[in-house]
Amino acid sequence: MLTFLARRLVGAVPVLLGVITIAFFLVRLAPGSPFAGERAIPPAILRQLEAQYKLNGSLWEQYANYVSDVLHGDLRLSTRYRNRTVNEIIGQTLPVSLVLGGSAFCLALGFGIAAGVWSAIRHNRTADRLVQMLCLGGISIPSFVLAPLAVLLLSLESHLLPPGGWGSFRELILPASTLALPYAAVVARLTRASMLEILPMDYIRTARAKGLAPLPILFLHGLKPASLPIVAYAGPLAANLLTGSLVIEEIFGIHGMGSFFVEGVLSRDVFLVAGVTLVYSALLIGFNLLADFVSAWLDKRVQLS
Amino acid sequence: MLSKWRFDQWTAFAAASLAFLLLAAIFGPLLSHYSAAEISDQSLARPSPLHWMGTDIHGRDLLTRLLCGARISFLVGFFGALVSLMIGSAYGALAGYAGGKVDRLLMQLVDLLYSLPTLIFVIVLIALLEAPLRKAFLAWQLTTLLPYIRIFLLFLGLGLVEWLTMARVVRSRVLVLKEALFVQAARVLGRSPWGILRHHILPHLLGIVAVYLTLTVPAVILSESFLSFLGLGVEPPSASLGTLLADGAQTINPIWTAWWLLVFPSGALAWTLWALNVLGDKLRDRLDPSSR
Repeated sequence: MLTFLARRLVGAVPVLLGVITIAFFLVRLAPGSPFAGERAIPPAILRQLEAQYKLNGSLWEQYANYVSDVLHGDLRLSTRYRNRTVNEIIGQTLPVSLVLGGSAFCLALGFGIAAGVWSAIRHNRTADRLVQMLCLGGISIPSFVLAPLAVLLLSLESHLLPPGGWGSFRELILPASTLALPYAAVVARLTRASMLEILPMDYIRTARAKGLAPLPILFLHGLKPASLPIVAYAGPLAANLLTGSLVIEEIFGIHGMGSFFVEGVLSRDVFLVAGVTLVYSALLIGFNLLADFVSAWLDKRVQLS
Repeated sequence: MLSKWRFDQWTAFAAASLAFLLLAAIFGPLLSHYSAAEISDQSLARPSPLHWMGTDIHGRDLLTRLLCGARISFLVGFFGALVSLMIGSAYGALAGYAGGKVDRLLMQLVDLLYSLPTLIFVIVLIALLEAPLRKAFLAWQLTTLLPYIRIFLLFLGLGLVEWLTMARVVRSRVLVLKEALFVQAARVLGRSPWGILRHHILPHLLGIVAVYLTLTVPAVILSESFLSFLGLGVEPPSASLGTLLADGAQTINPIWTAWWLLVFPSGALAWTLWALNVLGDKLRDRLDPSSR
């Protein structure tokens, strides 16, 4: 187990290095200077700016210096938001994004698994059909369609929930649920298919014949092995929620990492883009590692190697 | 009521919807009295017999814009899926046929890409490749194509991220096929690996590839609308469903809301995605029983 952990952590280093390399060169090789503005900047000042932001010298020197700084934990100054370091921006926005993404993640899993299990026990009955229809609908209504409609109906027409902002629980409900809903549908479909495979098995019948209560059978004997495909989907789910939060943050005016990322790309802010990409990738790698541990715990046959 | 409406009827409804949406997207703009870019003084008019879906802030007829937008969305969806098909089936066939270490390495890369926010790289790619491509187009005297640069980039970028599932499916099919007797016979008869892939394995992949193509199209349309919503996709004066949706979302505010600008594009996008998803699902259940 420890060797597995060590190997995965070592394996993550080249991936993260690759990610910042791609981000760095994509942004630096793109036309347009991060300092370009309405007016032309005199060459002397431009040189000084480049020196201040460590963007002078050949591209290789810049890259080597940057990587060494990153290894020392310094993600450098943002060129778009002057006077603010990327560390500072990430430090302020990461908690916001984590709360939003985390609650959407829990909602997607919770609702998805509940609906999937219900649908599986009611296989081919009206409830099952209804859940399946809703799921197809849910998959076809992306968050950025759902969110404006929800704001229109629930906040502006009926004043039930605030249309934007950040800080209170009530302000979290709409963004988190609209972000989660399409993925809850995907989870529900996965759960249903997987439960339908497990429930007709012999050992479930044995458990029932022994007189075990229906609920322990369903959740301990049925759902535990049936949740393996769901755990396998957790990684892609987290990645999708991350991307989805870009628009959700935009719609609800939440200052998470996503909005800074989009702004960074548009203004050629190389360190902000590379820094945020680095954090995103590290988060997802850690998350996949966790998912691997969970699936090994769920199914002892899964070898952590 | 639900049990009466059997799934086959839903499929038929989805197929009819798709046919209707496609025909509307292709021929609709020709039948309309208005043009998508035509500005009038009827700013933000409500839906009426004159403008069935109302008008936007510049007085453009929303129905016409929607039809043109659907055209662009379908176009991007189809070509993006085609690019992803080429990458995915080549990659999957290579991994499956080579087997062993190559296969393991290639599939590990797919697993890795699955769990990275690849759409973010598309955002970076589009933002950064646009200007050089524009310069190149100007140098090659292709000025008529200039407004379509973003759309080209979308084909490319979305094709580059949506091929993962295709690669997995093709690989698993090739793994089975390469052990089949007729493939072994071809190998014994001295056919080159390339020849075997091309003449003996590829024809058997067509069915399954077609199924996953129908499922990739909605995925690409979804990603395209996502990018357009952020302002990184299709750019004015052309518009896709995502751009129209973004325009609609801009107009909602507590004082006065032009609901039609939001509701109609949302409905059109959801309907399109729904029809494609239902059809793709049904086809997959029929033609790829292993996926159940």
